[in-house]
Amino acid sequence: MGKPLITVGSITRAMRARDLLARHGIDSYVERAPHRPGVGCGYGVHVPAREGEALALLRGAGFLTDAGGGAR
Amino acid sequence: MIYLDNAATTYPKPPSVHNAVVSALSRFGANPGRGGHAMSMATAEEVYRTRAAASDFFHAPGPECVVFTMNCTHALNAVLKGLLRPGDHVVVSNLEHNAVMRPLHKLAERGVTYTAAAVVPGDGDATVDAFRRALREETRLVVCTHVSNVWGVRLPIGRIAALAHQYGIPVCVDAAQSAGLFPVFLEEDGIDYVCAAPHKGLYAPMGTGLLLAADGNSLDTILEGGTGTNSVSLDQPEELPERLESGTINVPGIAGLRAGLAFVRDKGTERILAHEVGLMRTLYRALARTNGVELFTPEPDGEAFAPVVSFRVRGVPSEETASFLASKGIAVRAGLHCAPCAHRAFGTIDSGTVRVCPSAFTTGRDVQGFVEAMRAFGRNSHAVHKEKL
Repeated sequence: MGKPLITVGSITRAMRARDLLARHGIDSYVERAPHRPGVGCGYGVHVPAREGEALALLRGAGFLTDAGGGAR
Repeated sequence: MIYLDNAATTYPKPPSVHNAVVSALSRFGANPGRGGHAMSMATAEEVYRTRAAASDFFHAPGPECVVFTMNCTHALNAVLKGLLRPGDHVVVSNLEHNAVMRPLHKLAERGVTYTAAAVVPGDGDATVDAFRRALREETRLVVCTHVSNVWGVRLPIGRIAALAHQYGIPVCVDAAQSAGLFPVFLEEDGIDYVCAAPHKGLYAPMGTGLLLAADGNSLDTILEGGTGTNSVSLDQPEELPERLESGTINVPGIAGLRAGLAFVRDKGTERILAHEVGLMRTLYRALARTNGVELFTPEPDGEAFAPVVSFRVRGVPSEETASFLASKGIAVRAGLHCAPCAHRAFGTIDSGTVRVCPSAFTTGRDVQGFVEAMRAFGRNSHAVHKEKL
């Protein structure tokens, strides 16, 4: 099982997500997201701690387009 | 060489820009936004930091609003062709560069029309009124240059944007000649799209362009291809800025752009402007005293008139004047400067002019060298003119 990742889309989007989380004091790291069948490739943020909060923040800021969010 | 063709592209570039470009070739040699390995991620970080720096510089909402293009012409094409539909009408100024006029001319084949508002140099009220009179019910966009690349005339873009927004019309500003000298702020000036030429006033390498869009999703794409995400779908992804950046971007150029932005920010746009205006006032006044020289605008003042001066020598083709200057090691540009509309507006469409423009690196000695050469040319052309008589 790989690192938990919140997939957000493009590299720019992932870096914006990282910066948003950093402004809220949550560390995260931009990673290449695993290939998703039917979707393809993309990028996400790995949040080592407080992932639940990170998901809520990113959802509130419009980064997440589906309820699932990250790939685990 | 005395280089006074900075309106075409600035030269030299700061050492920091040179270093950034060279460094990028080895440090950021992987394609950003495609892989997950260390160098690809490092390159992506450099690109992102440049977007953030550009966003800060132009007071855009965020890095996602910064699109890298090949050049300013590409950025303008992206706005014009991405936004306009058959039956739409556009208002432009009568000083536009062919980067605006040629795409519009092409779009006319598809039923897009335009009206050119007559700019009144130095009179913001009259210029805004001219734009107001040009608006129609079917006007879908106002596009205008911030500073004329031929005459240095500065347009009141904030006021033009406010006027257009009263009618729900978006505004696109061609900041090719102004970025790095005059403030161009998306948020404060209320501009919807800014197209810039970083290789001019931002001292970036050639091969770089900027499109800053408050709402880039309003633009249909004119270029589709690989973006590094959602590859299964043949639809262009919606996410900005990648949606408007298909294919591999100019990473060394973008690294140079980041260094150029830092250079301009550190020096200060006001300081650079004051430096260039001071030089051009000296040059202008000397030209005004030179035998046979015709000037068409007041001297640059850093407010209504940017430090760009175009002139001609009575009875002498502009290319001949430029050729003489080139023989003395002085680089200027003659002709129509890809802006026939601007020349038509000032009555120089048949003769063209010689254009002179400094940069942050131009010195008083450079200006003195130019002045002396023009004095010699003035004496020679006077002698030839007398002979012809």
